[in-house]
Amino acid sequence: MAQDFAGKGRSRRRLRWGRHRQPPPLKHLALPADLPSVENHTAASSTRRPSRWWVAVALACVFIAVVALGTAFAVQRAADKPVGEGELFLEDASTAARSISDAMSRGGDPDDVVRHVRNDLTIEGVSIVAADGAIEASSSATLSGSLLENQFLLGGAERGRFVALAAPITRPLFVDGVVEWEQGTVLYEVLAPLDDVAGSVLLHYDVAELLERRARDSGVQTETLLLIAFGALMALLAGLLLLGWARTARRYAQMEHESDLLRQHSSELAQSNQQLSEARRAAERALHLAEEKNRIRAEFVLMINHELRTPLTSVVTGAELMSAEDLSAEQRSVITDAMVSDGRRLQEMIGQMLAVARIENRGLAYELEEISATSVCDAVTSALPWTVSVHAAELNEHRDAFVLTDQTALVHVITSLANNARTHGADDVRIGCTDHLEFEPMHEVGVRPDNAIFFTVADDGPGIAPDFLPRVFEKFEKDSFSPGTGLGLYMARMMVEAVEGSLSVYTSAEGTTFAIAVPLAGAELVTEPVG
Amino acid sequence: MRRVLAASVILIAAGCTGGGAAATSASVELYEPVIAPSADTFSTGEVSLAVTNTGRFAHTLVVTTDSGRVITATELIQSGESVDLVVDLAPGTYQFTCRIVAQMDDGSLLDHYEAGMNTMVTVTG
Repeated sequence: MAQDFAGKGRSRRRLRWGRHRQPPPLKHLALPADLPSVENHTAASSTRRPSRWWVAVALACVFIAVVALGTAFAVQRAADKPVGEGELFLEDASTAARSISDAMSRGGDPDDVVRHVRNDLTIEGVSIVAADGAIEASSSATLSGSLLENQFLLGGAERGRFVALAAPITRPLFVDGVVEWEQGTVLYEVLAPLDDVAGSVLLHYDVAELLERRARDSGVQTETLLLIAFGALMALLAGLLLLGWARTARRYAQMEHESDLLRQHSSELAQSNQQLSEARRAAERALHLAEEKNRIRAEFVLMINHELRTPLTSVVTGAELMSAEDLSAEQRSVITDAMVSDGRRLQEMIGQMLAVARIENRGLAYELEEISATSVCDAVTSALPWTVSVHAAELNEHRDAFVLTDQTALVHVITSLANNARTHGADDVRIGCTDHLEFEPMHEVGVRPDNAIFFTVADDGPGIAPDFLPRVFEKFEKDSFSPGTGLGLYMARMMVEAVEGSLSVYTSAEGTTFAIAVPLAGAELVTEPVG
Repeated sequence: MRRVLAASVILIAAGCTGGGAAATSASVELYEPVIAPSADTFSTGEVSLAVTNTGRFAHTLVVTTDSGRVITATELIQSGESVDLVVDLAPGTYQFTCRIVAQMDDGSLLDHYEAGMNTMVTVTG
């Protein structure tokens, strides 16, 4: 009867989640389409990085300009300097003396020699005078001078010294028979000793012409003007170069500034997009979690509807049948047994639900003690009346190891696993205790201690479906066709974690083995089996 | 009485100025390396210069315009001697110079002009 009730209502309805609206896709922020990219922004502009060559050339121009202007200043200053005629006269006199000496040494005619010298020097007159002042030869046959009357020049002639004097002549001077200079005309007369020849050379300069030429030369020099113009041109060129460079540099700096702003803007947009993506993923996770909670809640409602209502219906139906008068005593006994069985099942389920609720609300806190593995196994044996009558528990080696645990919790978990195995169709259930596992757990929850003792519950049942295995220890998770509330293994997990152990499972078509790992309490293991 | 004397002085002064015949007198002292006229500004017209060489060497005084044109010159003036030089000056700037270049005992040249014997004078209208 109970099997019939249990088989009813196991529809595999699936909730339709389509009514849950998906969050609208978030639009990523993006740069406007007409906004130039950072790379193209600079490339598209005609502004290039200002070359340092411009500055170098400009500085070179400045340097040339400074040099030119400095030279112009020096030239003009030299031209403006009031100078006498000494150096000019000395140079002319030396040239004349050398020419005359050379010609005289070659036996030339003195008159011809002095004429040539006069022409070469482009001066007014050249004479050769003796030490006593007598004119021995002259560029003009009729040339006579003031030499004899001038003590300064006479002294120079007598001592072989270079002397020059500007003074008015005391009588007219003739050149080629013509009066060239009237009395009183100021002439410069220069006397220089001859080389290798006795006597001196006397040069006549027109002082007025000489000084006027000097005055003209002392004005603003052509070289000065050219140098100033060149310097100004160089300065202008340098200015243009620097101005162009400065403008280019300013435009380039502005472009760089704009590019920086674009980069910053782009970076901010990228950051915003990333934040939006993260927010979207968080929203999707939250939605998925909510959907999962909804699914669990719905399945829980289905489970409650089925698992509670089925035995309750059985009890109610049985009670109604018991009220009938035509039942035999045997029939009444069967109905009563069914009602008791379903009532206990209800009690168990309600008890599990309340226990889970209590654990979740208050948590579990155990006082861990050193407990003998043997006592644990003995307690399990005594707590499972059916194991004695149906299947004997196998308590093999290491029975006398001591573990650090709460015996009540540990025994409860082991017995729950054993009962669960029986509930799920196992005929043979074996309970063991070992310091190592013969298998690699396919799924494990909790934290396995470094030095652990494993209490195993193995059965020969049909095994656990692989797709259900990852959820086998989760709350309200149970295989669709299996009986139970989906709370038994969840409670076992919570209790194992509370005693600082782990709960693992290995399953196959030949059966399932659960292993509870608890910390070893430090007692030496006895490798010999205890009989 | 005082007024009569004052008027007489003014008349005499006016007569002298207005006649224009009398030359302005000035003195020029020459010594190494300076040409020192008694004034650096003269009035237009003839100027009578009393040129005295108080230096150790012989000098000359050559008067030129600012552009270098020779106006007049003295002959050689020995040390301690004086000569008078009369020159007719138009308004403008003039140079008083010594144009002697002499060779010293060590062979070097001494250009009196370059040594500093040149000075500027101004003739005003």
